[in-house]
Amino acid sequence: MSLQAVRAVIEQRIQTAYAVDRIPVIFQNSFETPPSLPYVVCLIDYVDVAQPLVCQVEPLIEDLRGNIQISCYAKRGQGMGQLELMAETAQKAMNQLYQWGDAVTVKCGAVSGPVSVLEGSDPYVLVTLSAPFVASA
Amino acid sequence: MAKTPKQALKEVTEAMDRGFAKFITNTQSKLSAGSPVDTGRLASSWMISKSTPNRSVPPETGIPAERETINGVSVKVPGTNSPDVSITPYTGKITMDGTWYVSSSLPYAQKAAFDPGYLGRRGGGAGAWFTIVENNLNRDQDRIMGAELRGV
Repeated sequence: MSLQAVRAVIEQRIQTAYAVDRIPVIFQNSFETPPSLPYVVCLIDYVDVAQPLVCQVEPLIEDLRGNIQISCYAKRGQGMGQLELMAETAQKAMNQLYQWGDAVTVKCGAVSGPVSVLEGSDPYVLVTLSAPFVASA
Repeated sequence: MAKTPKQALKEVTEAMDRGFAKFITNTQSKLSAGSPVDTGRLASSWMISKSTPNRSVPPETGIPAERETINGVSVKVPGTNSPDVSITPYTGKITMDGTWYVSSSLPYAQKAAFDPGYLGRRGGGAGAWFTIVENNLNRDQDRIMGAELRGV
């Protein structure tokens, strides 16, 4: 299992979830300038990559632990509807990351949020959701 | 000589208090270390308190970064960082009872914590610094308390 394989699983699932509504998703190191609103920023970080499992049959199985943060951006002054729809999509996508039979499985823990950030004078408002995850192969 | 139940209970209680104190101060340190630094004010603003959040905030230091438009292009003009971030230690004894808070009361703390664009909206760098700490609290607590209790 590689860091790249875990990232690929997560990014592909999140991208697919938002593709239905044609909302662009920005991943780390992909855009210098964000697209026009609305859009989603998905950050994947690994916090613990050194937890090999003791397993007689498959000694190379290992756990990767990490953190997913999804921030949904929308225009200021247009109500909470779009933000909440995007937050629901994020919640569903995180809950459905685990799929039985995948070569690399990613399972999310409890999802925190959505936390709304509405103050300030920026042209956008956002909600953020996050969850820890464990990936294994 | 075997410990009496009363001695064992006392040692476990003390170990849990020590572990809890370490967990709280560890969380304060991680939040401070993860905070995006411009003038260092946010990193210095994480306070430990019991029963109610500590609403005090550190004074402004340095010059904050600004955005300026030069030749029609918006550019970030960096501020001057504070030479040192100072963490305010909790002066009392931290024990495993009641409700404890590790909080920042700066008006922009929530935005800095939950908006990855606060650093520049590329999504790189430490954009998820707060949720990484938040979502690891259970594991941190297990690790620290476990280490203390194994010593009993």
